[in-house]
Amino acid sequence: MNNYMLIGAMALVTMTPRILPFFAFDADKLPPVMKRFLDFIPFTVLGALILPGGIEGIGGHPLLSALCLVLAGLIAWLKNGIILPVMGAVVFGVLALQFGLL
Amino acid sequence: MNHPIKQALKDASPVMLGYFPISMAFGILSKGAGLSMIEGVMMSAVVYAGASQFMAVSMIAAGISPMSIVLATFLMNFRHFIMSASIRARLKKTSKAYFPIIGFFLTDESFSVASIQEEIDHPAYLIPLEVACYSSWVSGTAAGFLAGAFFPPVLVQAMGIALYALFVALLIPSWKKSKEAIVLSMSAASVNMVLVKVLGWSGSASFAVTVIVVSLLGAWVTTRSEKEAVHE
Repeated sequence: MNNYMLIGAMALVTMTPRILPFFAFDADKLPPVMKRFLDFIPFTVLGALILPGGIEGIGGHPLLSALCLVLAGLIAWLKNGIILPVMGAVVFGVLALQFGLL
Repeated sequence: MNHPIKQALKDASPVMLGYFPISMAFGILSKGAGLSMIEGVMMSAVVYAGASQFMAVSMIAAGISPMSIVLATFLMNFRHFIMSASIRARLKKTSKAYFPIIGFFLTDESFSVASIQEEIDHPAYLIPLEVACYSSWVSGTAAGFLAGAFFPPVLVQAMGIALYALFVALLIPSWKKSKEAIVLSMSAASVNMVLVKVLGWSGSASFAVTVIVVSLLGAWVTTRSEKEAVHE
């Protein structure tokens, strides 16, 4: 198998689970429990994406990573929006690394 | 929605910012592993799945068999089926012709940004949002091949927090609106943490199990308590 065939096969096994569910059911005919289950997915996905991955966001600095995320959460709580919290976390991370704060 | 495309680009901007340095790192790694620029950029363009691309390149470099790489890729990216199903359940007006496009461009990040919006049954918003994220990933890969490491290492290291900060920022407004969002996200974070850090599960297995079990449990508990309230 050359690299192009490998890449093609990787694309196939990645795109099948991404695309198939769109054709698997009718949104109007979902039982209420299923509808609710699917509506809850965004919140559980976000929770599971944040931990434990987030504490390794800045490699080798779990405490700093956690602080950056708390800062992002605080900014998001006070200001809403998504750009400012992300910038805040990154700038704080750069400064802390640069000046060896943590 | 006044200007769906403008709004989509605005919402995609943190993902674009987060994707670029990671995909540059992917380009640099692929070059080091002996992939041609066309191969590296093509992988980003047709597989478009960060973690599995890094894994594949390391496995190629280590001489691991292609079948194992494909299997590992499948196991790692299988989690997206649940995200696609969640988006599908909210598309009632969108033409089915758009579904393969919406599915193709779905990643953890584009899903997170899209799914947290009140109204997504609108391809003029959803597709530009996804394509904007994608363009950053693919162009970042090319930049990694062409330019190598031109960002200061401290910045690259700190940028590793960007996408996680994005997930936090996406979650907070829902916390303000609903207790359900708080309970569900905190439960999922705790369960996933325990499965990975205490029980030593692989990240992809624990992610799928956590998301399905916690969401199902939540749906069952809330539906049951509503039924009881009606009977009283």
